[in-house]
Amino acid sequence: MSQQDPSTINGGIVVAMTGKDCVAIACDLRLGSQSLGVANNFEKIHQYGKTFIGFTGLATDTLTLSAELKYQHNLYKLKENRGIQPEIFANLISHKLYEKRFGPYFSTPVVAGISDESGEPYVAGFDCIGCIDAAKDFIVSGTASDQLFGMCEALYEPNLEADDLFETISQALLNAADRDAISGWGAAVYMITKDKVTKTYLKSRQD
Amino acid sequence: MVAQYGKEPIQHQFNPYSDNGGTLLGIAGEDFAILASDTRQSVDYSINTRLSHKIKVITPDLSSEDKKNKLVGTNKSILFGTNGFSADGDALTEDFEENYKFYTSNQNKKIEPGFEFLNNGNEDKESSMTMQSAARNVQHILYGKRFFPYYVHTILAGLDEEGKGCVYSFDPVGSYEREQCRVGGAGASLIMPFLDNQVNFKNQYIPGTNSTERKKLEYLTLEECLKLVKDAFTSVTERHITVGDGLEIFIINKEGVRLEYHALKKD
Amino acid sequence: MDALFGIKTENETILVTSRNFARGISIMNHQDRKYIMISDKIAMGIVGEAGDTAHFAAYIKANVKLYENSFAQLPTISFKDGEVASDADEKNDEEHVLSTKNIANFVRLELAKSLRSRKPYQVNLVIAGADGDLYMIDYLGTMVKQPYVVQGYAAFYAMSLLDHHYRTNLSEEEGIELAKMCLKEINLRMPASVGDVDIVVLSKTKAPRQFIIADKDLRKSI
Repeated sequence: MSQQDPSTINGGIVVAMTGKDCVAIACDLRLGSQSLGVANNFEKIHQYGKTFIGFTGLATDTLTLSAELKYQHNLYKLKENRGIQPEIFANLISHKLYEKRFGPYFSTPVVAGISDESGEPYVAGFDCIGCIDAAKDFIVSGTASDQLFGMCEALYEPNLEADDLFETISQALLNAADRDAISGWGAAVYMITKDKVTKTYLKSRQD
Repeated sequence: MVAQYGKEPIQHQFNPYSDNGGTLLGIAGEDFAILASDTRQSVDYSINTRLSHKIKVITPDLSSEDKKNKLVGTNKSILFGTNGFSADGDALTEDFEENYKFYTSNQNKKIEPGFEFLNNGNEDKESSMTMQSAARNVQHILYGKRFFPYYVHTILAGLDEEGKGCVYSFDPVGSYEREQCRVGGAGASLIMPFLDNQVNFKNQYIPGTNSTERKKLEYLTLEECLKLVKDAFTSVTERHITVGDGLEIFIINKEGVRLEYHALKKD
Repeated sequence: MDALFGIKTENETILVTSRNFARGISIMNHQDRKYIMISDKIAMGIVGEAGDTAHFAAYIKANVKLYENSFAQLPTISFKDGEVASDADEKNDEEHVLSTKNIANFVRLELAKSLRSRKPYQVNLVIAGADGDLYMIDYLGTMVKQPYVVQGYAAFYAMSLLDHHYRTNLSEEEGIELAKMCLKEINLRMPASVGDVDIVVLSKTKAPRQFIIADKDLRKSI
């Protein structure tokens, strides 16, 4: 009861994928307290300018961290008078997480965006002390990360068009969540292209 | 507090189990079944062998015709796969084989005078064990060791009495179920959602119905199943350290049992 | 076995807190008050470790007062899309009043900071505002905004009822009936009765109302 793994109290997953001139990032909507489902509207993806970040792990830390990053993002814009690039943001997050090296945030964020400079899609993941994993295909995170790895590794192919990428990331998320008791309860998918962002809610199993 | 030497006895504990990794996968088709596994056997970060066999074909005698056709079993065979602690897997396989031999041998069926009805005039017929009886027997073996379990995930594949493909899967203490498909072992959490999606069409809907009409269930062909199996294992080999080296696929249909081998990455 | 929950109706927000105070197998007090009015528009229900609840509640209320008094005459600087938004058009001649959302976020941050201190506050709370906002925050600093919230073990019994019967257009009377229905189930299924309950009704249009539903009356109405 008292000694539990902080990263699996609340449950939840995030996944991001790159495509041809597009990136997608998706999350489930459940927030729980162990076995009890508490909320089905707990969105784990936040927008910072054109960069999107998904937070999984201990909910209190994801809230603190997302607020801290909002503050840092505002400071960056104030100082530089321009938006932040996803690569830069990834390094910022890495530093913020490592600041708490010996008392970490129990959260493993995922970054997704398209770089203004190169026009290339960018996704990155972190461990809870800030080690960056800048994959060129996909990033998974959360309590069903094993299931997501299996789904993504089997379904993913490079350079998908936005429509196909949407289907791929949705199926990866939904089927992974259905094999995890503390993930699911709805899902949200962001499809990011150079000049458009669409957000879609998915129907999913409610058990 | 500083620990004082000799104050309390040093305790040693023998651990009777180890984890040998690997993955086992069964899919049932309409008139065939597949049981597949990787061939790596490992402990911690060490590889014991790159060619271990987690699946045994438990079979009646093969005809010379079968052997000529390079078949490794008949359509009555039971594909018996275990994954987890391989010593226990081997022990379980042996236990079952012994039961199978007694069950199927004609010697036990000598008819005492007055008991002809027991055999119903079938004494000349080739004897075999149905999948449902095999599964029940495996449950009894596993539950017999309820308090010192065989540390394995067991999957049986074969043809049922109607000639339809079937897969039975077991937990370490004998809880079992007949299913269309099942993955066991290290890669189970990675592959199982993929199979839900691709075999049972979970989360797939008919386009244009606004997710109100599910894609209808239908049997996959053998070719489609083999493709899924190979995709699943190459995927899990990428992401799991205890899975790799080789892939053994046993296919049972009315012709008999065929074995396919494919290389997997050895890293 | 405290009961602490809230229900948002069309024009009201209802906060329900039990009055029994139990230590081990004994009920020590039947008149324990488990909520405070942070202002006449915001109520906070709080349960958890005995000393922590009272101290934390007082700390929050005092700090909210301090903030509101300190910044009463000062203009606010706000950001909009990363730019400093001009507040010339913002009405700021009135005293600076914190919204339910403001207070919930302040409380959450205090708990999140406390979690990694030498002795974290062990308190779980529900914050209800007359503006219709209803928040649930646990001792970790997990915060959710919901139309109905339940803290503690009571959630296992009350949540399914609320899921089933809740509508967004409930009237005040229907909201209180729903609260009674939950209390009935909690008393029926939990090992100990929660006793009398305090009800706070915060309204968008009317003055706040505080009253007690006695255990015996609740049983009569069943």
